[in-house]
Amino acid sequence: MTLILYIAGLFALAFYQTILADMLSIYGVTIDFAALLVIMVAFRKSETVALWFAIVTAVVVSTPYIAVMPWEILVLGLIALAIKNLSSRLNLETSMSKLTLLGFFLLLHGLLISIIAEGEDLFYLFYRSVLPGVLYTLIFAWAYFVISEIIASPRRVKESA
Amino acid sequence: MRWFSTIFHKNRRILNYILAAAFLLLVTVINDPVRISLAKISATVFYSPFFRLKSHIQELQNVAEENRFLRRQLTETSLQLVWLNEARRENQRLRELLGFEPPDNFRLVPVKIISLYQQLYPVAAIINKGSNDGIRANLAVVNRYGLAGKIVDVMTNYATVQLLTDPSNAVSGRVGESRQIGIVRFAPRRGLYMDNLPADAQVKKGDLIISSGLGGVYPPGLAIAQVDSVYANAGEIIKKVNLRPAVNFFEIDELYVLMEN
Repeated sequence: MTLILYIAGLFALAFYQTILADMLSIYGVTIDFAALLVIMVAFRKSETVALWFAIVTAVVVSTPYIAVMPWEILVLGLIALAIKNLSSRLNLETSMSKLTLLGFFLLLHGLLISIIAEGEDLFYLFYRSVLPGVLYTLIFAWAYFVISEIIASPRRVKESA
Repeated sequence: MRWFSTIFHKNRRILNYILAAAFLLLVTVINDPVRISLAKISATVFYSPFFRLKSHIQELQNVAEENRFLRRQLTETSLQLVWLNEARRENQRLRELLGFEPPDNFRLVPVKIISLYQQLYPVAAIINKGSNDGIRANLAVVNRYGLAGKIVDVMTNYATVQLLTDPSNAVSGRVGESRQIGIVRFAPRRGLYMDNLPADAQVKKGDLIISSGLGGVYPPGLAIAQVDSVYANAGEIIKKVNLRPAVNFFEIDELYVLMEN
C-alpha cells in the first residue's frame, strides 16, 4: 500500500512536470514540486525510504533534461538525508518550524541546480527565479499543512477523548 | 549465509549509503547509456500517459482555435455573400433598365430611397436628391416596372415622393387596349382600383392600365397596373375595376425621376 503511494507521488510529479507546471507558473516562476515531495517524505518516513525515494524522484524529475540527472540524484539524496537527520534532532511539531526547514532546503536545491544547470548570471537567477520559486512553493506547502491539520484535528480530538 | 544476514542487518544504513553512492557513480561515470536508459524507463512509465493527455489537450485547443477561426471566416463570408447577392440584384435591375426607355423628351435620373413612410402600405418615400440636382415638385417617379408616384416636397438635397398607394394621390389612367380613361386611386382596404369608368367600357382582366398624360403631371404611356377583376352590377353606371399595381411598393429600392430634357 505504501509503495502505491510513492508511485502515485511519482505519477503526480510527472503530471505536474508535463501539464500543471505551465498552468500554475506565474511569470515563469514554478513550484519546486520534486524537492517538496522529497522533503515531505523525509519528514515522515525512514532514512532508507527517504534516500531511495529521493533518488527515484531525481531520475523522474530529470527525465526531460538528463544532463542534470546525476546532480539531481546527489542534491535530492543529500537533502533527504539532511532532513531526516535534522528532523530527528529538532522539534518539528509546528507548521512554522517545518516551513522554515522546508524553505531552507528548497532554497538550497534551487540554488545548486541553478548553478549546475545554468552556470552564469547566478544573482539574476537567484532573485528572478530561485527566490520567487521558493516563496511560491512555501505558499503551496503552507496550504498543504493547513489542510492536513484541519483534516487531522477531529481525529486527534476523537483519539484524546 | 547467516553471517551475511547478520552483517546486512547490523550495517543496513551503511549499505544503503554504499548502494546509493554506487548508483550515483554509475549514473555519473557511465553517463550517457545509463542516463538514457533511466530516462527511457521513466518516460515510458511515468510520463507517456501525460504526454498523450497533453497532446490531446493541445489537439482540443487547436480544434477550438480552428473552430473560432472558421466561425469568424464563415461570418465574413456570409456578409460577403449578402453583399454579392445585393450587387447581383442591382446588376440585374440595371440590366433590365437598359431595356427600359423613358418617354420622348424625358430622361431618367436615378435616385435612392433614404426612408419609407408607411401606413399599412408605404405611402411616401424620401429620396436622396433635391433641388440642387434639378428635382422639382410634380415630376413623375418610376421604377423599371412602371409608375411609382410623383414628387411632392423638395428640399435642397432631399425630396419626398408621394407613392400611388397614398389615397390622396389620383392618376389619370387609360385602359391600354380600349383607350378608355378613368381615375386610378388607392384605398387601404380595396387596394388600387380604377374609378370613373363607364358601365359599357371595354375592360377585362389582364388589361394594362397606363398613364393617360392628362393633368400634366405624368407623361402618357407609363405602366400603372394590370386589371385584376371587373365588376359590373346591373343598373350602375360605373364599373368597378380592381387593379394589380405594376410596381411592388413593398419592394421598391431604386427609383428614377423623369425629367424633361
